[in-house]
Amino acid sequence: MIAAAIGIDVDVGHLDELLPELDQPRVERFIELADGDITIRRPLALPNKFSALFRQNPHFSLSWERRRPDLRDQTLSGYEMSLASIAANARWTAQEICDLLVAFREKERGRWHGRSYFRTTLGKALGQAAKHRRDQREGAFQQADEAASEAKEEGHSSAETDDKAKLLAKLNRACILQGRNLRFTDVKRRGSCYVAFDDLGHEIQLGTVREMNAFVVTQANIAEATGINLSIPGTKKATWFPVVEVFIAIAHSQPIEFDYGLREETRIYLARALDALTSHNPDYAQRVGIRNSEELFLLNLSLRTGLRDSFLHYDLEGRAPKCWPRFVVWTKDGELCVQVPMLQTFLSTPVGGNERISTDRLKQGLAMMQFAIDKVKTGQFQGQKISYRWCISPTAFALDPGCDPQPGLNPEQDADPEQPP
Amino acid sequence: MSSPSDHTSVQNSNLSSPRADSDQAQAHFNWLFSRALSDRQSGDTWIVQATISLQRKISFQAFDSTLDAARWAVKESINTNVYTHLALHTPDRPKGKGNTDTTLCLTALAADLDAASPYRGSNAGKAPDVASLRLLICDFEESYQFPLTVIESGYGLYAMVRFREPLWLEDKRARKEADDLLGRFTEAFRIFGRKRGWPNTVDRVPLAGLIRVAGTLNHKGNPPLPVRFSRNVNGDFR
Repeated sequence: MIAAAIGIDVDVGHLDELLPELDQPRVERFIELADGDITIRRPLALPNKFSALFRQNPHFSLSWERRRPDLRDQTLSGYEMSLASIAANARWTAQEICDLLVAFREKERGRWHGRSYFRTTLGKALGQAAKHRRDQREGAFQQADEAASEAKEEGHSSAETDDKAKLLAKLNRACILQGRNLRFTDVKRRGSCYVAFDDLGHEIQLGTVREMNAFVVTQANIAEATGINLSIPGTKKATWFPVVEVFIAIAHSQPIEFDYGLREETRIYLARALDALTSHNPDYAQRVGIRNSEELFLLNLSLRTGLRDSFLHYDLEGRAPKCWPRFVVWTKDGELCVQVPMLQTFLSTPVGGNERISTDRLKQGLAMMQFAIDKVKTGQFQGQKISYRWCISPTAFALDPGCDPQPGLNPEQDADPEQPP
Repeated sequence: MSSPSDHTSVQNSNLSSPRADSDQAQAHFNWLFSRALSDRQSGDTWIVQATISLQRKISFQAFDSTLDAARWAVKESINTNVYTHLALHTPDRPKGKGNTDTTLCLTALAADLDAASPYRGSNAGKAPDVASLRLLICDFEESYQFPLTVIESGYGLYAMVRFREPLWLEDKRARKEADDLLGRFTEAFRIFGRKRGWPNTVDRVPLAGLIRVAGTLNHKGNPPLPVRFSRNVNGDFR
């Protein structure tokens, strides 16, 4: 009888559970990630976690209701991926997420999918959530035990007796330092700049916070001081910014170094401005006679006609050289004249170091160096007058004592200060 | 539309002059496709059959009812080998042949168990005879604890299990999953086959694969052998 020859019908889900897998290593990878395999079952009720997440997370509730026009993938699978990702980030277990997706698919009257489908979706969601957590937490640093074993191998020992020591130990676990012979022993703040010291006695100018975040200047300075050219392993956001935070935290855990007060900071700014001006336009290395009304007029004219925007296009190739305003200048009497608003503008640009400093603070620094503040100087030529406020140092001023020539001056010019320009 | 239980005719077991059996053919199509075809979701789905002549010439024919499919199979079987696609397909199939992309609904899993025969290119790694293949069926049923539907194909067996509900394949991903499920069903038999020393005795029936139709004839040898459901009323194999 044919009827007797017919076997029983079996639920496809049951077959999916029973039959051997074709790609067992893949299943084992999932089991390792998910801390166990999943079972496709129709949950009698959704877990308590569901209502809590539904209330707290609008993305979750909208995905559950299938009202997410912002999702590129509007298929049921796309919504399941969204739900799984949110639940995984909320630390649901793989089976809980699986139950959620099965309930969702049933609610939406979706077609059958087997365990391989749910494993794929869950694997993606759990993997991304784990990566997200790792990046957020300790993405830039190796695990403490890994680093400890590495330090042991290298004969180092880190005594984490106080906050600074703990921070230094964390800093030396940075992934960016992995496998490199560079161990920091201290980080100090000098004005707005940070300086690091390594166990070989190198002093490394890390630069300002902006420079550290940009990485390139700091990378060059580290390479120059130690010979080690670091590269960021992965994204800057995940692996470098947390290291910058630790640099700052170490520096802030101790007083700012005595030598680098406002006076020294201002001196550095002036030297940086003079060096930049003369390297951009070598003519600016010549002294100016500001008591000569015509020379003063030309100096003030450079401020009026100079393009401050050209500071911003400093690095663009193929552009005609822009006229820079001459806002710091040595006089024939050995005075240093500073036009503070333009100095502030210059410092705020990338070529000036991206410094955020107020004009008042700059003027305070200049006053500490005995500068006369905001003296109106008017130049006249062919009946035209241009006036600007200048801060002027005492005569025979030395910006950098012991330095010959002074920053921004031409050596030949310095040798014979009386020679006309 | 009739169900398998409506057909109680006994297969003609006279192997010297076998003939096509319309009851078996009807039962085969009813068992495999009637529920899917009567499903309102089914839309435009087709049973696709193929004939492969001794000269290896292949042609396809599609049907929207099990009755028509069974009649055609029996008629064609007099002179040629008749097969059906395991799954239901869309009407727009290139050259009439079903392929993975045209698959709409899978109703059962099937594995092709081949025994050694003088008509194969190679018998290496194959079970010595059809009776030996029944041992694999026993191994499976003992291990998985559900009875299979078995069709004798002439020089082998088809081991089949029908789903409780037809599996509608809405997209490429679902078709891939269904194909994987067929592969896993085959793998289950291969495991038993390897244990018994017949590593090449189980062939995979892919999602767009063909199986012979019960009630038709296998024309590989002379005389032709019947293709038929294979289990007696007590559930034991003949």
